[in-house]
Amino acid sequence: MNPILLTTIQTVVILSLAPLSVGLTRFFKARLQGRHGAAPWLPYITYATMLKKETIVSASSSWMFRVAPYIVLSSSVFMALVLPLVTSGGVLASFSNFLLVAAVLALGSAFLVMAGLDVGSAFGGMGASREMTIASLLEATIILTFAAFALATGTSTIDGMLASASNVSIMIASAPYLCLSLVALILISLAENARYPVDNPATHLELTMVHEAMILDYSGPYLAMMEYASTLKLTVFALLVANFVMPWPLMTTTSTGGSILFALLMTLVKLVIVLFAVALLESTIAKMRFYRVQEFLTGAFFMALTGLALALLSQLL
Amino acid sequence: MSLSTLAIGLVISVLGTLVAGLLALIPHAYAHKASNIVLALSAFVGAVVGVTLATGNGVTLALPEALYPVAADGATHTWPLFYNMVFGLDRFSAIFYSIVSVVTVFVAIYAIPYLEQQAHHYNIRSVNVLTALFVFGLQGVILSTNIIGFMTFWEIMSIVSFFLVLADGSIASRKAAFLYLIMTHLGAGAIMAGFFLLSGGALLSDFSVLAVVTGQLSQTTFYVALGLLLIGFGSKSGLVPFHVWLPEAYGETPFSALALMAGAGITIPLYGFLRVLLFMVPGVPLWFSLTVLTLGALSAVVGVLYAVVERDMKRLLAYSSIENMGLIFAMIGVALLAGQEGSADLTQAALYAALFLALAHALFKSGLFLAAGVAISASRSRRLEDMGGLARRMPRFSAAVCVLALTAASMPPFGPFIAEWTFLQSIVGALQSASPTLTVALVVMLALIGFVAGMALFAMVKMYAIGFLAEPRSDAARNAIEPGLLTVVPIVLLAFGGLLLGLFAPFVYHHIGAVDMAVLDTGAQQIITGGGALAPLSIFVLMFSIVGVLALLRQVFTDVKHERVYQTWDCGQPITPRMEYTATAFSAPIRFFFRFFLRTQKAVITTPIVATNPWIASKSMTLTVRQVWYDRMYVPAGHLLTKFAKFVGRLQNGSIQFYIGLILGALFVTLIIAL
Repeated sequence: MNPILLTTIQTVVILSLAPLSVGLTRFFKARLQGRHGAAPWLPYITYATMLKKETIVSASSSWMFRVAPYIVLSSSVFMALVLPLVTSGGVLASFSNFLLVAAVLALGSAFLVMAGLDVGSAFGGMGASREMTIASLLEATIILTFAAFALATGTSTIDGMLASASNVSIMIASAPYLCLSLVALILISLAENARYPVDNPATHLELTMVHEAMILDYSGPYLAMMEYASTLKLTVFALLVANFVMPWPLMTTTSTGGSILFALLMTLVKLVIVLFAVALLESTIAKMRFYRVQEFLTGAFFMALTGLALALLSQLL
Repeated sequence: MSLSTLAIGLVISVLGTLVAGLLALIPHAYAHKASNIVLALSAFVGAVVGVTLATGNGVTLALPEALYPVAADGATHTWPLFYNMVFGLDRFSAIFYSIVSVVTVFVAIYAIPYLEQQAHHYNIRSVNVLTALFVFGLQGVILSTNIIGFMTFWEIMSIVSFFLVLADGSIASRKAAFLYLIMTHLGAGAIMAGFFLLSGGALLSDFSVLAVVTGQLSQTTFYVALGLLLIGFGSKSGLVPFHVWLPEAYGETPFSALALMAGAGITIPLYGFLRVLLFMVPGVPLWFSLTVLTLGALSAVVGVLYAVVERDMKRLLAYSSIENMGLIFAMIGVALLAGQEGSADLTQAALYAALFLALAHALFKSGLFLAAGVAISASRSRRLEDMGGLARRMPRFSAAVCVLALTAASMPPFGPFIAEWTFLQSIVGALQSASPTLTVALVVMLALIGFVAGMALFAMVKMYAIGFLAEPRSDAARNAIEPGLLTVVPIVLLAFGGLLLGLFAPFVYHHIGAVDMAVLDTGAQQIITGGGALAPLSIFVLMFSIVGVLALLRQVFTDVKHERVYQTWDCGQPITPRMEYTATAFSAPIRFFFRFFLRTQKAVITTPIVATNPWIASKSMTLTVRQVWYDRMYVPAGHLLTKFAKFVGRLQNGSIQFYIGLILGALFVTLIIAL
């Protein structure tokens, strides 16, 4: 199949599935906690409503308030375009260099933080400070984690990492130390997406929130953009982790009729499995006190470092 | 351009600097403008010459020879100046000459309105004269091709910057200036001693001769010389633990001169260090590369952590300079180590990354200091806690600062990101086949650079968000107005410079192959190294088009007409600047996480207002950041010196006979040694 078509399919699938992923997580969580819960497709309706609403702009804010949603959303869309989520070997695959992806993620966080501070409330500032801490301390972990994959697969694009390990179970069997890097990747994904145990996405209580605090003063279309950016990021990370962990192949340039359908179906299955796992996690463990998050981040860091060290050792032997 | 045209241009750029200095002396109202215009124009000529040579095919411009037509009998020309000294630019020094010239152009333009505005604070005439002399010193160091020339101009640069630190004559600036003077002269002494050891004591030896002589040195002499040079150049670049002078000195210098010092001046020790390493010494021992690497990494980490907790804008940027110089030295250290351990590709790539980061740093740091000058004079305070709200009052200016801050935080696709990408990507590539020593160093580097990059983003976001966004935190900041064109244009252009440098990185990499290294594998569009490729221009186009499409969708599909301005939600009460998050609070998690290292001390004083209820109280908090180096290194050293001085002081007992006895004793000792 044409690489352009591949990227187009992935973009359409991811962009349209994104609201579902946050809806599904909330739905699973509600069921696990014995509530009935809202329908998984509620976010579609919510976003559509927000888009029609009037925008309220804070009197304390500057142009940053209006610019930030575009940059934050663009950072998420960038991930959805370049990473191997539904398809591998798309036309933009060469942009999925892991150092670039890490930097674009950080760029999105930086603008989110600046938007949080721009409205001048202590809520926004507190969320911003926390988000900045998490995002900046994660940088080294992301680099080390993907460096281990790069070493094991001999390529630096995330697309290439998944393509060269077309069957993940083989990759893990031949390089079991990558398990540590996989765990690090999962920890990174939880922290990046403001999920448990780093943040509680369901509260509006100043003691617990990180992401919500920064976007408190957004409304209407801007709020829709901010929310959509975060659910898009969740979708991207869920599928990325799934693709590293689960052995079903992605759609490639050589795929034909049946395997295309299979890849599309599996995308949905993977998403459901990962989101269910997230909901299960969030229903069983407690959120960490923010000042203990450093332990979580340090744990992720050493996990990634050990993964890389073992990868190097195994090369020596 | 022919060689003689370039030579004339070079002479014009140097003479123009001197003329600018002389013009500034004239006690006339227009002298200030004239001096800075001449400085900007001559520096522009210098920039053209520098860029032409740096991107040329490797010709070396030697003065005075290049000024004359080639004689038929092959006769050479000399000038009866400074012992027939030869000055020159090769491709390598042309890179640094371009940096100095470009920064000077922008600083000179900015200085015109800035110094006029600061007339009550500084003596404009002396600042102008000193700035011109400082530029002259920088140009001279780069153009010198022998030890005596290099050291002379080095001293001009150091002494002039001492007076620049002293410019406002306050007690704080005097303290900072003397600390700077002592540190810079200890460094200069070390460099001089190092050069003398390399040259065997010959003052006038040419650098090219030095390269030959160095090969015949005994190992011990060579090692001592290397160590001295590292201390000398390292202390001038602000490497930890010799960095203590840098935040103090930067804190006191007028901004126009500071942008020059922090942008262009700080690359000069780097130039000297690389000149020695790449052109003079035959190869360095393992301990030396490891020391360079360790000092660099330490400086990067320490610099960035202090930048995160610092609340004074000038000092924050100063610590960011320490961080960046640390990164550059760490890159050089890795390059040296990789060379010894047989990873030639990594050596090349790391050196390229170091040079590229130096280029980018010159642009964004001078831009940031120029911008800090505007922000600080607008809010009449250096504390971030007194700024805020500038983005609403000065949108054009603050947008440029935002770009500069993102550049400094090495975000894509700006210059510093490309440098760090090149470095990290090459490390990942080299890990495949690295020797055990190198592997350990590289893994540590990966983790550290990742950490430093994250923290740099923290520091820069803090500086920008607290200093420029939200409600103004002081009356002065509330009344800030957009600065004039002459002030904004240099800042905007420097911000653009950082962007363009990133976008055309493959081109720039292609042309800084000045060190006779095989050129990094760069196509016209992308940088390829360590098994990865990066196409900065396409990344920018992709990111820009995503934003464009989003903006278009928003215009078409959503309601853009109805918009209401309302106060920020704050539990029903109106919001005031006192409720905003401060720089102190913003960096609190980092202070907490690294408390074992930063050793901050927090004191909260609570005074109850109502006697019956202890909860109604007024509270004041002070936060002090201790510096390990002061407590553990400089304070004990100072005590030791004072003790020694007291001991020596006992000799001065005022009795003539005793002094004559001492003179006799000295004479005896001298005679014994001499005979």
